[in-house]
Amino acid sequence: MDRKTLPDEKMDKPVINEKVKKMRDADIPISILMILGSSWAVYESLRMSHEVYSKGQATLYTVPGLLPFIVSVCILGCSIWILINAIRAGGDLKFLSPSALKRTFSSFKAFIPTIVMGLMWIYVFIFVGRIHFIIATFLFISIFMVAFKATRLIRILLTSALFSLAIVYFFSKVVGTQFPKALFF
Amino acid sequence: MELIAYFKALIDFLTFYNVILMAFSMTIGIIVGALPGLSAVLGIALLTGITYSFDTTTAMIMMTGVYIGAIYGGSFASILINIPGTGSAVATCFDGYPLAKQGKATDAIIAARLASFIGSFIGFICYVIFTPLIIRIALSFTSAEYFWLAIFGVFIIGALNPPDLPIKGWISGLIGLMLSFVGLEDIGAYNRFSFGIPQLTSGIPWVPLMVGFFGVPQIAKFIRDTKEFEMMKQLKKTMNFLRIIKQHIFGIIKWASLGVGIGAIPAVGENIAALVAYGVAKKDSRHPDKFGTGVIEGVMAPEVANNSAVGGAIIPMLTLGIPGSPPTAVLMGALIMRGIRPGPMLAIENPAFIYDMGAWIFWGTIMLLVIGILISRPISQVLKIPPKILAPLIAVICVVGTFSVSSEIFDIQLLIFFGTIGYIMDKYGYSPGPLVLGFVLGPLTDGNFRRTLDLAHGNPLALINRPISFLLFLATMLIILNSFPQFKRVKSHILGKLKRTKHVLQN
Repeated sequence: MDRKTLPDEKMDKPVINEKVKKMRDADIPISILMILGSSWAVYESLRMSHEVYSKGQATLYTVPGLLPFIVSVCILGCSIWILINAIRAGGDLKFLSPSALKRTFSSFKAFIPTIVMGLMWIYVFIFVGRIHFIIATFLFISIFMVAFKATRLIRILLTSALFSLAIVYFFSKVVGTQFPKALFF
Repeated sequence: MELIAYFKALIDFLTFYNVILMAFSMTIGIIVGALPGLSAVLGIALLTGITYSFDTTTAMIMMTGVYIGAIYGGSFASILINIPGTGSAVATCFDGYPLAKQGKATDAIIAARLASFIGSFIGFICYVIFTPLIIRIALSFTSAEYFWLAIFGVFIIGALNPPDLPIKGWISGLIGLMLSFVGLEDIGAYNRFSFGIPQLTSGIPWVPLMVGFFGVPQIAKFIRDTKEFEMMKQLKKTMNFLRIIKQHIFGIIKWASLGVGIGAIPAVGENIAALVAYGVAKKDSRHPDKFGTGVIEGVMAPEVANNSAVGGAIIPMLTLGIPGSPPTAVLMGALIMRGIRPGPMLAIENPAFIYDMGAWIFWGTIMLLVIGILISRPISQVLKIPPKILAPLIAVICVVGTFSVSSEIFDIQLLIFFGTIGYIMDKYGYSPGPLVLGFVLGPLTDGNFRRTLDLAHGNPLALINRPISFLLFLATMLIILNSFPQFKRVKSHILGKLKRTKHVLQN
């Protein structure tokens, strides 16, 4: 399906393009994670169904785990199919080796999503609730823009301060949002 | 009778407040759509949180305005910088940018605007005609039909719009279904998959899930995919558009019908509609070889189709409770949060809402033309704002908008968690569309599945022993089987044999 064979008779292995190869490589760990997750969901569906059924609170076809069981079995089946397909299409775990990881993260572009997600995690899990919401927002926007060199520092600070004040004012006055109280200041 | 009700809703809309609100949200929608990386889904998802404390009419006018505006707005970036503003404007790039390079950017923008207006208007007409018809059919649906309709919706999106393999779309949809099972279930109030977290007892909240899966990954992509681009200048208009519309009137009707039809297929939406219409326009053209070099039909066909798909996508959302596109899935979530459950019963419980929605689409269409003219030149300034400045501001709106719905820090933590999962899934070919659709349709599946079995004393045939439920079951199976090359081979083998037999019999 996604395999492209080169018309070279000397080649005995199918060759797939780099993008597809990367996708098949990533399919292996992701499908393993999904197999584990769906296996847990299968077990949990059976456990909850057994619990209710054994107490006589439901019939076999009205137990709460019936559809979750069917759906998780489907996910399990699909995940196994993806794993097999990835292996057959030439996927491997070489991309997780230290040298390959070093190569991947040698460019700044590869780090961008990690930085964006990381900053958002810090904003929500560390700043919000511990420091005043306006300060938390100001810090988040400033750090974000500085990290990506958005513009000059003075403009960054000005934009961050104005936007933080404006958004908190809008939501508290117009929408009526009660912002979380700060733990420290 | 229904026409009078629609007419009344159209007149009732005309208050100063509503017009200003529609104009404002249309402007926001066009800006959101024009900025590459931001989409109609993100715009509506953000508004879900922001407008939570507003009354339903105000919130829905804003969301409809943003939806229609964003689908149209996508064309600006496609024409001026050759980067589609939204997924539905991909096909507009093919001929829009070459036209702009020839110094005809203004012509391309006017063509996109007129096409969007005509498309939206035809979408509105179809909404008025088909909504009551589908409601009449849907009122005869039983639990089994609803169950299969929801399953059909989950599987068709995976099969029709796969970034990688169709099976990944199905997995996304099935994960969405699993997420909808979290919390107390309908029949026995059993607490499922909540990990002992009290906030999850009432289920996963809509807004963190929708904004998480659609919004947060887009912020990361917005920064990552920033490209240097050359912006084309908007010069004077050179074409006679009245003549062009007259020339292509049958084509326009064809593209719009395709848009409405494709938009009405559960969860397929505007993106596919635009690409299919472009393909059809090229096929029907007298000079298909010129497509891609800057022909006006190449701009008009996708814009007519993607805007008519808006009306098409709203029809199944309101009549069957099955969203026709990812933005309507979010729109449906916003309605459910407000206690309005889309589906055939809506016509009985809240008929005025159906007429009001028609009025919002109609006035949104008119506003598209007016705001489109006013905003045409300033929009190029908006396109110059660097994503590095916009991205953190959008991230804050995502967080604050989500927080404002429940004032729970847990919700924004959930938002970031889903956002991270959503980014990883999206990167590896598991698109968020089917997942959110599965989540929206989940409540339809579980209750109806067990209710059908309960009424039939556990007989599984009860799920397929009615004509519509059997057809939906058959359609779902065909979608699944059709994704396997082995089935395709067997199908073509059988069809080949049938052809040969027919040929022999004829001779």
